[in-house]
Amino acid sequence: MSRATILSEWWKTLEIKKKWYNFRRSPLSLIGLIISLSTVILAIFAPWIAPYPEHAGFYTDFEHANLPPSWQHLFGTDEFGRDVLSRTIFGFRYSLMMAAVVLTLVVPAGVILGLIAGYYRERWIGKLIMRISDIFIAVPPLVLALSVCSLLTPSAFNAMMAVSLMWWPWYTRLLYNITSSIKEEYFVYAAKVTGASSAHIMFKEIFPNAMGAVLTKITLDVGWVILLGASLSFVGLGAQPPTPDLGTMVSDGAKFLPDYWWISMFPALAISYIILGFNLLGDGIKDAFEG
Amino acid sequence: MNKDILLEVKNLHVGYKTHMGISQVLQGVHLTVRKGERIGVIGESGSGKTTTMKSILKILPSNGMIKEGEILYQGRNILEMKQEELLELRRKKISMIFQDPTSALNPLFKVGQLMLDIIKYSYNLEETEAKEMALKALRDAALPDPERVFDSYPFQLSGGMRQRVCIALALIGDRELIIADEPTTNLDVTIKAQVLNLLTKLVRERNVGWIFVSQALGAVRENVDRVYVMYAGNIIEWGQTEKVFSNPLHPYTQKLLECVPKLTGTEFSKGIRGRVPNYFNPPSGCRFHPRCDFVMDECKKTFPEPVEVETGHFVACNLYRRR
Amino acid sequence: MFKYILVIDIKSKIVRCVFKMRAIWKYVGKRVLYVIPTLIGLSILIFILSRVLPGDPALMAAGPNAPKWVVEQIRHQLRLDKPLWQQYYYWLVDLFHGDLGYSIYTKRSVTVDVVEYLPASLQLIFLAALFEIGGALALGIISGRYAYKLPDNMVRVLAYIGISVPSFVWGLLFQLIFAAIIPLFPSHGMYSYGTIPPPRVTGFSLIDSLIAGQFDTFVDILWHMVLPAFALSLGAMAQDARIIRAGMVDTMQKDHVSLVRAYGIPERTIFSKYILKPSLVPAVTVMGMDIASLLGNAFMVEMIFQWPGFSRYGINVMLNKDINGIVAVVLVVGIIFAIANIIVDVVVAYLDPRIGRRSA
Repeated sequence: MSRATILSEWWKTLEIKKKWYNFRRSPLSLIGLIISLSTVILAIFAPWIAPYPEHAGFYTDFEHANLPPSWQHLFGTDEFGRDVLSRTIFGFRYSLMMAAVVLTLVVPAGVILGLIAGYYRERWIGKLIMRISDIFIAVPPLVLALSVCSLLTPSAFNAMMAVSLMWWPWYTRLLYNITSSIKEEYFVYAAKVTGASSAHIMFKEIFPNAMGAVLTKITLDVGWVILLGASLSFVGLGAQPPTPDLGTMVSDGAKFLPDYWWISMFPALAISYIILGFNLLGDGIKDAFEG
Repeated sequence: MNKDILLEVKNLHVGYKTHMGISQVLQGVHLTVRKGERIGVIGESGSGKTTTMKSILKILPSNGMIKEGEILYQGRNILEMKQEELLELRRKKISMIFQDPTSALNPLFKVGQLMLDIIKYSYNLEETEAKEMALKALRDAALPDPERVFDSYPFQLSGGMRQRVCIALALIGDRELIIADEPTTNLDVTIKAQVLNLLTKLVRERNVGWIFVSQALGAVRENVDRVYVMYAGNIIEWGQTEKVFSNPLHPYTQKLLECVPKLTGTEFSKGIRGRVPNYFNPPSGCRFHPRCDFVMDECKKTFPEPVEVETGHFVACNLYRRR
Repeated sequence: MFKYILVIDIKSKIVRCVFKMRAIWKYVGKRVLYVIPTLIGLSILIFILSRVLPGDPALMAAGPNAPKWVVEQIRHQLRLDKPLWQQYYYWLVDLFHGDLGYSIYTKRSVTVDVVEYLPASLQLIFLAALFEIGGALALGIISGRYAYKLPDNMVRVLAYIGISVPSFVWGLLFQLIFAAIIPLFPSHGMYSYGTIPPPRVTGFSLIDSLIAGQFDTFVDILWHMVLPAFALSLGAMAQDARIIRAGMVDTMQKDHVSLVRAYGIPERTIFSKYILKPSLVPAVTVMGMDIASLLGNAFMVEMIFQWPGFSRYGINVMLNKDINGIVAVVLVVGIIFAIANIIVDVVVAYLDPRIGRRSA
């Protein structure tokens, strides 16, 4: 068989058309897709889309501080005279960057550990991996993230590292469950009997069946990781001023409630917008794979 | 009105509303069952057998729609009945045995609880009398330890025992009509015969009307008086069992009977080419025409009028049209 | 109608409960045994992190201007001059005596802090859990009953919003709308200005105020609890409403529902008895988990509403790098979480007869 044939056969097994059909059946999923895409676009092209990109850094203009929303400043200005809209758009950038970094670190590690743990679940390695991951799941993620961040110097980078540290077990657990239930299936035995190596079985036989669940989880996690990051910066343990992080903006603006409500409300809405988008998208992906 | 006729299904059209459109499953199904008569319904998976049965008791899922037709029980149209009359019908006259005994019994309830609930709603008896009735039904269904079964959860029983519980439920009281929707299909091979023998024996003893839906052609041939052959939501051939089985007229019936492996003969059947039609966009006229070796132009236009080829043997096929 | 069925259900449950006791205790025992190593691992993890990561806790505790001997004294007091494993060992020994160490932040024993602040949080979480269960049940059942029709679609949209908005945003919103703009509820704290807290009997201010007969204090406390509890409960409420709805839609299509309908059981009974109960069983697991995670979300909400609870204490010790406090907070949360999980598992095992039974 030629390379091209193998590739096209593999492509067919992905059933992209069917999945897309399942996905677009629900209007909510499409809305989620639009929202998520808009978030990504805003994040990537922030410097070009934001009306006052320089406000995202060190900038003060006390003459125009605390102005309510107007045509020049659609979301108003904050206590330092910075345009809230621009800072919010840059906030998207930092939030998505955090999600990207965390998930890039966490997903491969978590998935591999989970596959191993599930495949060798009777041996000591499987049990060890699961016990270790149990430790990290023993407390709600926010609590662990807060404590670890509090022990480090507050910074965006440290926040990302802390969140990554305690997020991987969720993927391990997911893969463990899926691997455990699949590994007794006949196609796995068939692969074993024809001499496939364990690595092949884990990555080429079992993992593709977990793709749906993993993709769904990744999508939903974008929202949750961003929420966690925002919570951390809300408390002061994440990104530091003057970085326009959405969580910091909410907490900075909170002291001006209810008078200058726009300073914290718009970033708060922005956070909700992101989470909503990825939640809807995640549900859509789940439908796409489950039909 | 023939006093003998229990159930008469006339020109039944049923569809399901889905996000992909409306699936027009049944297209003019008809059926007649007399008192004490045993009827068989055979056909492939997806031909609409279960849909027909569920329509009789009006237990279609919420997206099922009965578009046209009548279902007369002793002269009264079930589709127009008020709720109380319908409930009476379900409680006293007609009962149904479902295909999969595992999913048919609620896993969170003990068998006894379920039976007591049903008996209490149907007959308004005291707990002890109701229990007596339930235990008697379980005994009639040849369950070895009725007390224990009564106290068990469905998952604690084997597949055959679960189906026997369903049979017991169907026998409670003096039913006039029992609908058995593929009662043995989901059972182990070794149990199939047992359960079927039990069912046929009970039906004969009690002289109830019986609809036996099955894909086990041999079982149907041995146990029913008349048989209906269904394809894609239509009854394409029907009549007295022996006549239909020994002289199949419709091309589909012929091919279907060919598919049963025989002890004599050397070849396996080649199967029927093509697939069961897509109900969202079904073929026009006779729905079998894309797969038929004898297809004619008229077959694509309208569904053929049924013809009585020999006494008590009808077929809906243009091959037998009177000229 | 629902209440009627619930009462009868509860009576029969109590009878059955007695018989299941023995099996349950064995199950609980097994779970506890399993959880203990995890908690120990957790304590090791956070202990090590707390001793290794921060710059110099003694220096931070003493302040930048303290003379060297003060810093050294604090270092010795916190046992930071000993090897790591020894530190952990002494910490563990202290733990068994109920001593969680000395808090640099509150300048007193951490144990005292925990005992003082934990009940307030538990109260808040309890009220939030009540809101959450009630709301999720109501919304989920309506959604399931009228699946795919208008009430269902409305609830689903509301649920998405409920899940997406972070709990601290809800907290801020409620403070803004219901405390500032429409002064319906107080915006922070547990007591109104001038209210005298009741004498401490159990530590739970609600109960203590009742014991002391101070009914207006009781009402005052409740009044302060409404906004934070509601803000806390919304996310979980929305999530669980969706799960309940999904469970119901799933169950309604099952064959065993068709069967009971075929035998003439009236629709209303079918709904409440045969659809509702099986749908709730899978929901209980998720609801239990969500209630346990309320403890995590409480950290943000307590901070916003200045609720004098354990979570606010946790935030404060974290912001002040009080290592003993941090370790204690993580451990206590871990223990509560573990207990909550075990309770959920027991409830699920109780409700679903399939778990733990061998087939005949």
